[in-house]
Amino acid sequence: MEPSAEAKYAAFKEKVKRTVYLENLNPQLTDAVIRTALNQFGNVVNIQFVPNFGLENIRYAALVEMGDAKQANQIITEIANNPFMISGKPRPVRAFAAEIEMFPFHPRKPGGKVPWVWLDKKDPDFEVAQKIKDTVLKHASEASSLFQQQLLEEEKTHKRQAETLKANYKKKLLRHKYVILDKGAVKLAEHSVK
Amino acid sequence: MSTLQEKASEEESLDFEWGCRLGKGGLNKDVNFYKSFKFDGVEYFLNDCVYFWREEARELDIGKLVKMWETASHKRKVKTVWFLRPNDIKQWLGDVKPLENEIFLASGEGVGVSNINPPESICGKCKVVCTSDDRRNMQVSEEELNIADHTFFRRFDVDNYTISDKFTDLIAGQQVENFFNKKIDQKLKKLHVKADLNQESRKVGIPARAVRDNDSNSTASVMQLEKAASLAKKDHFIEKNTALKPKTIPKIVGTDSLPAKRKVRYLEDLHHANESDNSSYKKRLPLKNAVASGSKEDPANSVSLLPNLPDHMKSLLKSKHHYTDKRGPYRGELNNKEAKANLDSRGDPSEHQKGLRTLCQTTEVFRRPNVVKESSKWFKQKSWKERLERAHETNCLILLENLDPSYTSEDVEDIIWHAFQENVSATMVQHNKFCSRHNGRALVIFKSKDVADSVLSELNNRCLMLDDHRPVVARRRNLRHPEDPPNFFGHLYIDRPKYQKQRDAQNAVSTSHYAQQNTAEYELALHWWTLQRKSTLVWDALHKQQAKEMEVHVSQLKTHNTN
Repeated sequence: MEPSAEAKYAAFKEKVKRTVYLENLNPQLTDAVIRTALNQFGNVVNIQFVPNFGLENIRYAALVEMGDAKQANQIITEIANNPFMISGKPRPVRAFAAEIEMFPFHPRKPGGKVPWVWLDKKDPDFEVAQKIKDTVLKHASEASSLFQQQLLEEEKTHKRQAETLKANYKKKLLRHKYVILDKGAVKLAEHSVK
Repeated sequence: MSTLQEKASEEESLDFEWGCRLGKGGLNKDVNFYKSFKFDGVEYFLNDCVYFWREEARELDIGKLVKMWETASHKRKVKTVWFLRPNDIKQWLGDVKPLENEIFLASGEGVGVSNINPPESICGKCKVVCTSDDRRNMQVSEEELNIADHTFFRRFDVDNYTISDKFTDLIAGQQVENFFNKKIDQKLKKLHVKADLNQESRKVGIPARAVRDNDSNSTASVMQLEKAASLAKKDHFIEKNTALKPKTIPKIVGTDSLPAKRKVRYLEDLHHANESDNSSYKKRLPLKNAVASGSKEDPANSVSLLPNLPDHMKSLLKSKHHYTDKRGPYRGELNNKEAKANLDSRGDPSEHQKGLRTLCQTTEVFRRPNVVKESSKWFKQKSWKERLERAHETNCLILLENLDPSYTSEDVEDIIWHAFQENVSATMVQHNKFCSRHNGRALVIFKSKDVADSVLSELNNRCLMLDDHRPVVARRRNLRHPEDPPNFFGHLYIDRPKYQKQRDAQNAVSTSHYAQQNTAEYELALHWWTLQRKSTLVWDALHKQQAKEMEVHVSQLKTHNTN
């Protein structure tokens, strides 16, 4: 009938091994584009976009399940060593090995019972627990500030690159206009001959 | 190198002298195979490891001589199987950290495993010791490890670009035992006689040492045999494979049948060699192509299937061919062309199919459920966004943190039920690269604002401890409106004037590709890429630090518990 919990978990783990976590994607990317892109590496079985619930520290990302683990690993090593663009330049995507926590609705780890207990103020561990809670909050804010900083840096880079690109393009247009369209080069040549 | 070869053929006695002859070629009687040769004052034997010199390389290549012969036209050739340095394969090392002086044995069917070179490009002997745990490999002593130039215990498969420490039976047509540390032929074990043992130990004059016996089932006599074998092997190493070696082996031979057997083995090799090596150039190319096309069936196996791999990477793979004559690089290119042709034909029909599939499912937003069970969850998920929004508006939404990351949404719901007797819907927030791996988060939707408030206050005033070391942290978070696209930087667009736009629109194909080195895009891409690497490092460091801090606290907890 239904496969046992262990079997399901094992099957899921196997799927995780075959999946690549693709990040830094253009928000406008569609399923089909990613599929075409990664089809060059092998057989793409499934693409799941990571939903954005509006929490901070989220990037547009997708979980791409490949035909087998070898293909997935190949993608990861390749992209780690060469900048790979998916329909957009020049920001390359990032690829990582997927982890089981990256999936929504992963099956339960078999055999795990969650022990839980209420702690009262009298309990000696209570203070430590409070400290832990505070640390967790601190960590969360550290992470978000780091993320903000990273966004800022990216924005800077983007602006810088855009400016350089615009300037270069303007130069090219000028050149094109004067030299090619207006036949400036030809005129110069005639002039010098005279 | 080719000019050197010409000179060598002109002056027959250019420091080169063949040693003991092994036999004649099977098909081509004019070809002579040898067991050794003397070049530049050093004598090289079959299965020696030597250094090769190559023009562009910074380091000397290491290879094992597996065949040596002279053709009818008096051209001298040696066949070498390569040992790869970590630098040569650093692309594909991945997580593998090579040891100092570690090299990798090339294996597989593809390019780069072995080459045929003129022996004049050899620049010296090299001591390579195998430290593999394979039962066919004789273990070496500490001394030998210290005097060895290089060690190896792993092999690099040139077909899959993987590193493995399991050795197959054949490497480039050679018995793998030839690559392991020399021990006396297995067949000898049966024929070995005690008298020979004594002879051997007397000759060697080294006191018998305990040898790690790989084969625990062997009888006492065989154990003694192995001891002798190891002694003999040690002898070989210390004597640096000098002329002593070929003489000791024949002496140990007990009966006459053995040399015949060994000869048979060599002749078989010769036969293979003749088919593949001594045939004309044309003959060899189709053979190579047959292998190539066979392996290209599986896209994962082929290197050339990678989209527009930058040229300098390709050249690394072709680089091993530089010794051989011009035929070498040509062979590599042929493989690439063939692979590309296969890719094109294979890629199109499957893409067409997939295009059809996405068309049929336009109603479904992002997800494509695989399993029927998942589909029910999926429907839940689809409305999650709406539910979350609604919950957020009505303040029924709580974010729980410091959960075990391996919990599922159902686990979280169960926990809340046990602790508060409340039915809730929860979803674990999926991990991304910015989340700490130790901290799991979940969004919980309560039935009403009051319930949410009371739970919140309970969790904050008291302490719900999960798993003995995870107090649950709860708070309200301001959700950004999910429709707001997060600012995505990095995609640059150019406003082209109209006339150009039209023309370009016809030609432009925005494909996914690797950045090529010769484009302006490459530099820009590299900036982003370095930024990404930096960010990965930074995040890893942050997570490590955070993990440490947590550990300090958790250990305090544990000490309390034990008290």
